[in-house]
Order: sequence, then C-alpha cells, then structure tokens
Amino acid sequence: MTVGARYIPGAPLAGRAGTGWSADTTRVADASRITPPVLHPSRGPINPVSIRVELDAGVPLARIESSTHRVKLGKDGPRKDVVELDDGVTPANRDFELAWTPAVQAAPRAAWFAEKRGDKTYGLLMILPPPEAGREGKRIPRESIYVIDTSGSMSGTSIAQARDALEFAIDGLSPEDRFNIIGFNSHARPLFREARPATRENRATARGWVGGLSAQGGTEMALALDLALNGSESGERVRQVVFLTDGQVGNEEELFRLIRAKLGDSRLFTVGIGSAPNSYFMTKAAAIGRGTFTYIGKVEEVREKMGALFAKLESPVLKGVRIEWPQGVSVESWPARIPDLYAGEPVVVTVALDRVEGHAIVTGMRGGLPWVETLALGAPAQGSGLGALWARDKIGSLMDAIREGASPEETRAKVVEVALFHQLVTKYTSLVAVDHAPARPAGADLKTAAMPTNLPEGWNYEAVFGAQQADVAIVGRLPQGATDSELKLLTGTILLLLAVLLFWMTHARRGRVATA
Amino acid sequence: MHGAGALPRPDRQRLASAAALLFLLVGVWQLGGGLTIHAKARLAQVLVRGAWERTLAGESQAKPWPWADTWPVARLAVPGQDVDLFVLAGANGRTIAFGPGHMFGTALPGEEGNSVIGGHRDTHLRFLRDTKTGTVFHVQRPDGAWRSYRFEAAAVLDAEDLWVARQDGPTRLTLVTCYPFDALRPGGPQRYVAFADAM
Repeated sequence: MTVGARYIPGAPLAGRAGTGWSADTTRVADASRITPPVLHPSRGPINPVSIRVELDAGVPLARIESSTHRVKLGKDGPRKDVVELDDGVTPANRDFELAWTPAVQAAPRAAWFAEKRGDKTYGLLMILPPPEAGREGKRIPRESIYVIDTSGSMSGTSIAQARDALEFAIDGLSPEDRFNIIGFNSHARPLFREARPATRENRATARGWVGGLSAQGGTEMALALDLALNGSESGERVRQVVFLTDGQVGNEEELFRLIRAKLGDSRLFTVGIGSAPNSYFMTKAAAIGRGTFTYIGKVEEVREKMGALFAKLESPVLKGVRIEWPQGVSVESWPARIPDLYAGEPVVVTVALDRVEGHAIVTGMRGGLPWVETLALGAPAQGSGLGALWARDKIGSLMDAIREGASPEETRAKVVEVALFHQLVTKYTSLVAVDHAPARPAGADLKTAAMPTNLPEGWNYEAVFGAQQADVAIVGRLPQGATDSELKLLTGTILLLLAVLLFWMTHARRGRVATA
Repeated sequence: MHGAGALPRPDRQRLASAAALLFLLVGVWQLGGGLTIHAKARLAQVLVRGAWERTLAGESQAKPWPWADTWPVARLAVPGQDVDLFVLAGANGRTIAFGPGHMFGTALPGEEGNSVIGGHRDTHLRFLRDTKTGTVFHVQRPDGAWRSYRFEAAAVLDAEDLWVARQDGPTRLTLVTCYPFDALRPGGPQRYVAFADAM
C-alpha cells in the first residue's frame, strides 16, 4: 500500500516531468514521476486506509487469513465472506495480503462467474486440479541459483528475512543438486565462480557467506541477472533461479528485456521480501521468467513460504494448459498463454464473450498423462467488477506488447479505449476529481505539490536516503531564518529603562519629602 | 501638601520599588536571552572553525563539540563584507543556531548542482541585507578547493516555494533567510532568497 523508494540507475537528465525526489535519468526516463517523497518516520504515519473485502470464492473454503494485518471475518449471505481490518484503519505503510485456501476435495473444483456489461459478458474461470495421488517419477537433479539483494533498501528486517530464507534453502539441497549464490548491491558477487555440488562442505561455506551479508549500496539488478541467467539450455538438469529482493528498482523495462533475452531454459522465481516489495516488477519478472512470485511479509513466515516454494519447485503439477471455448462464440481471454501450474495453484482465466452457452474444455499434461476437465458455461454465478478485471489483464498484455515491438501510438489508442469504457487508471488515463465548490480564487495560480508516502514498515530511513537526508527539508518548507533575539533585546532594553525610570522617580520623591 | 493618591506615600513607594525590581529582573532575563543567541552564534563558529581545520586535514564529519549532531560541510567567505562562515550539515532550527546550515538533499556547497543554505537573518546571514548583486562569494570544500559564485539576484518568496531547491538548474549557491530583515517577530512566511551562480 505504499511505494518504497526505488533505486534509480543512470545519469541525470536536464529537465523533469514530475515532482519526485529523483531527476529523470538516462536509464529511467520517468524517474521523477515514480519517486514520491518519503516522510521521515519521526513525523508519524499518514494516509490511513480501511479495507473491506467481500469474498465470493466460488468453492468451499478451508480458511481465510491475512499474514500482514489482523482481520475480522464475517458472513454476508450464504456465499460471501466479509473481511475487515481488526483495527478499522491502518497507515498505508505495508502491503495487505489476504490468502484463502479451498477445502480439500478429491473432485476438481471449478468456479465460473460472469457479469454482463454493454453487449459483452465478462467472466472469470477458475479450475483447481485435485491434489496428486502420490509423487510419481524420479526426482530430476536441479541446479539452483540463489540471487540475494543486499542493497540499502533491504536494510532492517528485509535482509534478516532474506538471510533466513537462504539458509533454509541451502539446508534443503541434496548432494546431487548443484547450487550457487549471487549477492548484489552496486556490484554483483557470486559465492563460487560456477555452480557447485551441494556437498556438506560447500553448504557450510555458503551458510557462513550468507551470515556475513549486510545491506547497503545501490540496486544494480541487471548485473546480478546477467550473472544468474546465462542463456544456456540443458536437458539433464532443471535450472531454477530464485531471486530474493524487494524489487525496489525504477528500471523495470530494462530488466524485463534482459530476462527475456537471457532466460534460456532457466526458470525465474521471484521472492518478494519486506513490507512493501515492488509487486509489479516481481510478478512480471516471474511471468517472463516462466516461474512464480512468492510474497513473504514477515520473518516468521520465511520457513513456511520458502518451504512451500521449494516443494513446488520439485515439479509442476500441470503443464501445457489450454482452454477450448465453444464453437461459434467470439472469445477474448487472458492470459494468452497459461503458465505451468504448481501444487495448490488454480488455473485462472478472465474472458470476454458475446454469448454465454456451451462448454469450456480445459486440457493439460499432469504427471506425464493427459488431463481434461469440462465446464458448463450456461449457468454462471453473478459476479461484479469482472469487466474491470478482464480489462486490466487486456491492458497489461497490450503494454507488454510494446516491449515486444508494438507501436506505442497504436497501443496507446487501444489502451485508452478499453480504460475509458471500464473506468481504469492506466499510464494514459487517470481519475479526475471535480470540486463543485471551488475554494481557490479564480485568478490564483495552481500549485503542484507532491504528497509524501510513508516509509514502508521495517525500513530504515537513513539506510535508504543516507544520514544526510535524515530530516528531508525538501518535503516541507524552506529553512526558517530568524531568531527572537531582536525581540528579546528590545523588550529587555525597554524593561531596563522602565526600571531605571521608576527607581529614579521614587528616589527623587523621597529626596523631595526629606527636604520639605 | 499631601497628594490626592489612594495609597499612603510609603506604600506607593514600596510598590514602585517592587515594580522597578520586577522590570529589572525580567529586563535582564530578556536581554540575557537575546545576547545568548548572539553569543552562541559567535562562539559556535569559533568551535566549528576547529572542526573545519580537522576536516581539511582529512577527518570526515568532524564534530565541533562532542555531543554535536552536525558537522561543517563548507566554508563561505565574502571578503568585502568581512564574512567568514562555516556551513553546517542540515538546515533545521537546532543547527542554524550555530551557523548557516546546508539543506539536506541539495548539492553540497562547492560541488555541481544547486546548494541551498539556510541561516538566520539576525546573526550569520545578516550580511545579505547589505550585499549588492555582483558581489563574489567564495566557497571552500572539505578537500580544500575553492569555488567562486557571483551574486546574480535576490527575491522575496514564500516558505513553500521549494522550487528554489530544485537540482535541474545551473550550479549555484542559494542562500535562504527570513524576511523582512528588521521584523521583530520570528516565524513569518516570507523568505529572502539570494541566488549566486558558479563563475
């Protein structure tokens, strides 16, 4: 719920478009628009947020929980669960995570929601494959590359979480696996020159090395990704790159291009650390890297979340998922390519249809065998906001297309059309508040001011901005330049004169009385 | 021959003496407070000079006194006006009691970019009142190098006008103090801002 201060590489350019603390640079052209000022924590939290979630999961649930905030659970009718913050409001200084787990059942669970808007029906399709009956096939040896961010923004609890997570990962390796660790801040340093077998000695070396990591400096992620992704293809090993970071960088586009170019047959798994990771970067990087994104909000969660991630890394449950829509219906569905599914993950598709009828057939390969699931579309549960959800997916993929060479002008026109219809904020559209009772005199100039954001919880202000910026005067006012010395000198002098006058008067009178 | 006053004369005299004593005490207290501000401003600069000499000798963040939370970052000299000041890190109220303060987040004085320095109009930066455009300011950096700036223009602005601290313009020294110079009460919204561009 807050924007962490991002690392902006590149040389500053003259002129700026935004009001942020960074100038635009040669590598981050919009830096001044993505770096809102950050309030020093000593000035107290701002931006209170209240949250109410009405959850209609479409399947029976085993539990609903938030690892980041204390929540109250309630019911609204037979289908809907209501989730609200226990404290009512919370300062916007860390992300909110809500996780719900479907009750375990042998049958596949499917949910199908639809909403009619204009001449189209927008839908959300979710299919959760049943848990595997037992692990078949032998384990394929892995090559695991762990990349750990040791930049200044990781300082505080984030680096502690990351170290814990890495130690847990190292303990989970078996001797036939190979591994390496790359630490980076302004530079990238690998533990070994090349990946080594996870022998007892190598693991001990790694644990010692990880224990000595501390957080400071820049976030030159490109250097680390360059080392970790070597573009190689290898049949006999599964190569997995696990990237532990808060993703606080502004040069996302540059990094996406790098991942695309050098991925080879590696899989990139991003692990978001800290209270406010850059989820956009992490999710997208994992999607391009054909892996998944895991979010760890608290130190206590490291073992559980990393354990789940490593269990999942063992093998995908479902590969090559495809959906066949009924014949003759015009369909536009996202994502265009459904990613491999790991244990416990559902297939989630948003779709726009002109008619709601027939069956959708979902196919895939599960444990080497074909897997088919059929779902009747005729009787959807009513949902709301599905059009906006679908439109976000569509806009996301349109924006991705620019990276792959689509014309920015044409994309812009397409994005604006979808965004206006569904009332969405995008790179090209924004919400405007119109005040019916203007308070500003008609002739007065408009002023632009940047609204500061909270420092993400657990961050150390000085580690990010340096001790130098500790009382960031740039947010606020110009220094005050006067003391009350003159006032004091003046009142002091006047009072002294008055005292002298009084003494003189009483003395003079006494003198006169004496002579009378 | 007695006066028409309500109190007998000795009582009136005693009251007048008491009032005189009270005025004397409060007057001394106020005067002392005012003088302390000036004494502190001058004495601190003497101590900061020592810290600056250690800075030039290679020490970083040399504290002028052991419990200081600031350190000198530059020396500012205006020879024609007998000005020789040591600029401290930070432009908050506590720091600028001891010397002009460099606003964090802006370029360090003497380096590329816009260096914003705040100071009191009645102590360290009082000389700005009489400084004419065209005057040359000299700034010494911690590495000992000097850089010269020419006073180009001044403006009376609002305390909210943060654009003067922007870093996308020329290399300059931006000196900020309160305005009007002879106002009695501190804390007004106006600022006198002097712009001196690197020569």
